[in-house]
Amino acid sequence: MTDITSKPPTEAVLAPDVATPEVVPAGVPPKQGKPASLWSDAWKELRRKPTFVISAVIIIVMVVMAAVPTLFTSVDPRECSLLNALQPPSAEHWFGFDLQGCDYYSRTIHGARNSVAIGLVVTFFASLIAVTLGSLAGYKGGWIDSSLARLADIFFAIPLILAGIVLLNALGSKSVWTVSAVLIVFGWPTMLRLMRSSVLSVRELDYVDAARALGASDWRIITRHILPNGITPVVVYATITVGVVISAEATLSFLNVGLQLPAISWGLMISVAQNRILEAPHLLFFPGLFLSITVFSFILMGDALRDALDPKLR
Amino acid sequence: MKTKRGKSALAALLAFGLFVAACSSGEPTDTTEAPEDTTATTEAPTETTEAPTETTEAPAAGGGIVTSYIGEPEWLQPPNTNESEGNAVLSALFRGLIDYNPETSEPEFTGVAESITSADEGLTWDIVLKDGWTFHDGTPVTAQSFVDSWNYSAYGPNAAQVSGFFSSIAGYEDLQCGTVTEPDPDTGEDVDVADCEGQPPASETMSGLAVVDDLNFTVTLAQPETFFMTRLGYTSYYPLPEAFFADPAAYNESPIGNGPFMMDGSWEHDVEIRTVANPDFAGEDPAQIDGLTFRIYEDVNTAVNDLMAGNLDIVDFVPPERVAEVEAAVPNFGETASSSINYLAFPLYDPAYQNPDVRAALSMAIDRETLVNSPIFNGTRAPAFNLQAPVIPGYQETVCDNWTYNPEQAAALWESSGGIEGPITVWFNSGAGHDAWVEAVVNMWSENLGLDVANVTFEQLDFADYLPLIDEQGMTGPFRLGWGMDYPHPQNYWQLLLYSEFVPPVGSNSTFYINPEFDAKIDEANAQADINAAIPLYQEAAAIACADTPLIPMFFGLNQYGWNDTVDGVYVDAFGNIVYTDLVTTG
Repeated sequence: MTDITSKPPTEAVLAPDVATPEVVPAGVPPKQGKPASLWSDAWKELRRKPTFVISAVIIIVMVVMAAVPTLFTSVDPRECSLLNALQPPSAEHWFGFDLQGCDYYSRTIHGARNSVAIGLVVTFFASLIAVTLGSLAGYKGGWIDSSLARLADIFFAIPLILAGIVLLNALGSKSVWTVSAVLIVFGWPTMLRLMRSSVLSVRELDYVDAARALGASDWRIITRHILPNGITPVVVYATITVGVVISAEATLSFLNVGLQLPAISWGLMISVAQNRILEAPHLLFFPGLFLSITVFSFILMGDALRDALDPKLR
Repeated sequence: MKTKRGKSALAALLAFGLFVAACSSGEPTDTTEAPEDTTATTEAPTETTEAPTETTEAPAAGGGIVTSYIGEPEWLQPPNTNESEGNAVLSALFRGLIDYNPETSEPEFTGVAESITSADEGLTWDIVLKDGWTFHDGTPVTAQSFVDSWNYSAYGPNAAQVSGFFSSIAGYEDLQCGTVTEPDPDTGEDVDVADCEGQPPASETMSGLAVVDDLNFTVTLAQPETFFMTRLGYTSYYPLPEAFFADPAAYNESPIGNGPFMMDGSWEHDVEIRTVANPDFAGEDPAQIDGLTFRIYEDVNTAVNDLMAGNLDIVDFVPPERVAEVEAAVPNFGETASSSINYLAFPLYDPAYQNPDVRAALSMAIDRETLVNSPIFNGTRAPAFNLQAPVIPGYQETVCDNWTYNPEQAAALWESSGGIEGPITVWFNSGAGHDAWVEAVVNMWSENLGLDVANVTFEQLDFADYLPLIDEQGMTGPFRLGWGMDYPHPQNYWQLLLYSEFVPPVGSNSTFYINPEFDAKIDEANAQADINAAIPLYQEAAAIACADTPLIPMFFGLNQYGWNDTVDGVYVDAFGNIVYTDLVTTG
């Protein structure tokens, strides 16, 4: 998509932008007093990408929907009458009614909250764990690295959904928090691996050596040099993870081990719909559509970010 | 989880206490609406390749053999059969002392008994047998066959699952092992465990049973029980031939009964159980078909598929969500009343639920009629305004206002009593299809009482965890339970579910409802020799319970069954069993 000529400069600029005080870059010197950072470069590029713009708009809409559902519907999703049960979509009720006779449009809108909240919370904490431990492992190496890597391998070997089913069944109580906790516990290993390998490659670079030679502390090297330059793969992966987590939550709820009624969530809605797919296909269609669009947007966003932040992978 | 037809709830409920054991067997129906839910996730996939399809070379077409759906039984012998599937087979292989009218469930003397009488208002019973009855192996059915069978079941070291059925007979205690208190391996709590080696029973026979001659025996009860006779048609009271006592394990594979059908070969586990008509059957209603084959399916949905494909003659339990499909695709569909009821019980030990007005408001806010007719049940349940099922003598459509729908009064009571502050937890057993109707109930509370659904949480537990917690008074809000009859008598509902002495672990009064006035009325009713005199008293007791609203009756089950044109005369009785002797082939 983007012009190939911009590729070498971007790479070369990688190091200098954050390492200006200590490092005289080998490549092209900054053109202006304030050099273009990796992030601002990426932003410039992203603004022009339709995939990014579309996915960003959808994500913003979904997040707003999760935060303030009443902006989209004034109908109370809890106001139900069995007399309306399973009525198909109509001009007045766009999405029809569910088995309980609740307005399905309103339910679908309100269902965004749990899904999006779990997606963001899980990804945030899982990334936090992964970045912290990953940089430690990659930078320190030695036994810390080996033990953390093995630990990650152990968790990595356990399939997320299987672990979720087993753990949530054992836990008994199933709220947004327990579901999030379980997904966090099993969600960080991949990102830790990414972070670690990224740190491993960054820490051998000249400007890190230079910083070390100038007497910078480990803390400063990690926070000022390694993290900013090594975090991009994790940022990209985390964006995609939001989508993956949302669909994992839906899967767990579908399997009756995630959120429980009377909570409102897309996964639960799909779960209720499954037995009546012929009778009332709209019950499956709408939450399924919202779920797919949301997951798809995060994955698209992740792709766009990767293209912009990590040109080598393009 | 003893039952395969969505009766697990009930069965499990019954596994506790003595009455309970009784019930699990008798009750065939319902309580869990979506059997495929549980099986689908776990073992359903294995099922499809099952034998039924292979055995289709002998379909009913003209051959005189009728095939019927069944789940794999646990046992095939009266002392241990306390679940629906074994019960179905045994009711074809045996005939008890009495029989029940398929439509009214009233006792009829079409069984082995010539007469069953009590001269002293139910303390001692004189049972006279008809002559000429034989077991399938040719040995005669005598008074000793019954007495030996009952003693075997009651004898502690035999650990028979239906032992509790005999607890009302004098001398039952002498057949029980002593107990020692040991920590439970699972929970670590101290429980009483039978210690048959260290403390064997004092006797092998109940003092209350006395054989007068070959065709006459007497039963003395520990306490008068006017409806004792009503119980005697039940599986647990069947006679046993001498061959059983020689080798109970071998007998289990090829049971010998005295009924209209006899085993053809032995029980092919997970495949089928073949029976043929008993040519020497002494009853008035011999089999009209050459034989009956019980095809064993792990998932009832597979059976329904076979039924629709014409590979199976009868499915006597169609899951509610497949009713519409079966009605459309199968030539014949029947629906009869069953004895099962689902209800929401209140934890009367919880301070929040001690005000009867609060309970009445919650009950009156539920529109049961709309619920059962909505797509959740599609009319496959009947609304319940009474605790005892319509098939039981003395049924009234409504008992009192508290068990009917009255939103205005509900709102007024909720208002005046202050309702319930804070979160409300509703409990039910998971994976059994209860979520939809419980959610509908909560929505009705929200609509009619203004209660905030966001404050409501559902607690769903496996049945194995659910029942012990109920017994330990662990419920914190309304909880679902189901019940089905062991014998068609109002006492089987009112006393077992609400009598003060029957609180867990002894009985099934899971609400811990205690009202001396109610107890007195039940005692009075139980003491009546004539059921017609007893019924008004049971109804008065019912009115007392209804006014207190310790529980909310929700809906009664219905037997729903389909059959192909190859067979006729299909009828499922209130116990959930097909009336096998009515079956005829049309091929």
